[in-house]
Amino acid sequence: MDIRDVTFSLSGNTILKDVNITIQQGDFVAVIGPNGSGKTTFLKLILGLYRPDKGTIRVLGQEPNRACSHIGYMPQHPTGDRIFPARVIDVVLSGLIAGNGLLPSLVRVIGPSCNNQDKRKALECLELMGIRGLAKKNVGNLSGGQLQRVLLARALVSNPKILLLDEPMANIDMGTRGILFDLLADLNRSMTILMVTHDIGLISRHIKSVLCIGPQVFFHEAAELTMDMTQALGLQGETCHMELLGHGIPHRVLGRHNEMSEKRGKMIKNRRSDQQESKG
Amino acid sequence: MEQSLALLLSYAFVKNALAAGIMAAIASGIIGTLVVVNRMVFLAGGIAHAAYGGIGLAFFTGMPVLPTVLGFSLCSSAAIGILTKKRSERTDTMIGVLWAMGMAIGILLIDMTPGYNVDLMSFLFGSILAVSPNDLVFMMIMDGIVTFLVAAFYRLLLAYSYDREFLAARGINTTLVHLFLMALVAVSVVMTIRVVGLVLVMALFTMAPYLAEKWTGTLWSMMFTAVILNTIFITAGILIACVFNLSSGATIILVAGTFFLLTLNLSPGRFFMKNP
Repeated sequence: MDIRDVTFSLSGNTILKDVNITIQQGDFVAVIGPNGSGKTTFLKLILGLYRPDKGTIRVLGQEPNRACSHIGYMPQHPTGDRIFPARVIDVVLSGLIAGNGLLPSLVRVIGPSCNNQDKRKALECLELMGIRGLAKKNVGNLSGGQLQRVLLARALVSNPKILLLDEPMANIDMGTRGILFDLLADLNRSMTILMVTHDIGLISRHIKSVLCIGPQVFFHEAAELTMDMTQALGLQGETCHMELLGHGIPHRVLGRHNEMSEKRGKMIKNRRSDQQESKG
Repeated sequence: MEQSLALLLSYAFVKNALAAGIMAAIASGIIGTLVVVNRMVFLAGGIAHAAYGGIGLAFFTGMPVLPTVLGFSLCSSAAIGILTKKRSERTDTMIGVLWAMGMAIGILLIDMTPGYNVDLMSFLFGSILAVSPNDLVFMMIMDGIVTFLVAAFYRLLLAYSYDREFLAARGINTTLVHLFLMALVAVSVVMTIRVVGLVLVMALFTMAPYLAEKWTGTLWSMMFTAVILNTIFITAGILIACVFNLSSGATIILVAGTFFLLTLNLSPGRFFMKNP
């Protein structure tokens, strides 16, 4: 089981150019990159929501939109504080609907209500997210963080082989983040996980490799950032890379790291805190 | 008053009108709910107005009106569906184009039809008193089909309405679901035209579902509540129209609109929330 991407670029603005990546089964990939670099586009290509202009994508050895019933997807911008007449459990259950790229498999769709086995699965996923108590609540009344956990449960309910998460931790409080990261690490034993993140500090000890999408794409089969990556991220070599550390053990010191850059880094930090004070 | 009501209900045409009204209420309550939660009110309005072309076609060719309008509306909804899917950033413009074109086709076809049809006004503004037993059978079949399809594909429609991109990510062709939903809208619009006319159709598709959404928490209970509300509006409107000899379409809409404005703030769930 692997994702085998060869080359593709995307219409309009070229977002991804000549990308060649192979992601192995069981990997835990952090996808990083600046705003608008194509992280989300990358996930959507894997899902088959976009088609590459050239090149081919194979997920589990199949066309993306054939394999996508084996993928759990959590989109970036949850349909937010939008009022919608559905209970949390209904939304989670919608994660069980699956199709072959054209029509839904009718077993999952026909009939007004789900069978009890599916309901139990959905409740288990909510339990994992620590929000079983919200099952009967209206999705429109949830906070951003709660909704994100609901959408994570929706991605998990089909017990997928691959999990694609687009900024799963954006609105989630620090305490829960830790719990969810441990949970993801647990799931990683049976699932390949790709996770888009903005916050490099979030790259925790669980992550096995890093994919950096900038103007170019770098894939490192180790959980460290390199100079190439930080430059692609728009962080110049002078920036103190200490700021980019994941706080796992062992500490990862990334790229070149000399005294000069450390001083600069501190200066930048001080300046930032000064600005914050003056704002306050 | 009671006597006059009993007298009214003894007329066959009033009974037919009420039966047609209830059937229109079922279709417009169920499909109106889907229209509101999918934010396709303008789209549904386009289908309703383009249906005028179908009425023109029926008069021009002398074919039975409702089946002809249904066929025409299914075609125009498919056209709108395909055009709006391809240019999703200009959806409303595409709808505007087909809205006007459908009506223009209808006007031309009626121009070319010899003689003047008084009956035409009834399709624009509704004339429930002209409901024939054939119409009733047709509406009943359509109602059955709409209700069955929505019940059968309830979970798919729910998932589509909540997050269509996620549904696409699960390997489902959302264009097909979109066209399916548009076809359901077309069928319901045609059913409702008889009762309130195509100009006023949108009122039944929007007011009751909107109120229902504020009072309920699930899609099916929203549909159910909307059907009940529309039944009340339509029944009251028809009776008022009969008693005072007014146009049923207008009385139905005004009953609904008055109720809508009066109850706008009476939502148990949101009543205590502070205003933004």
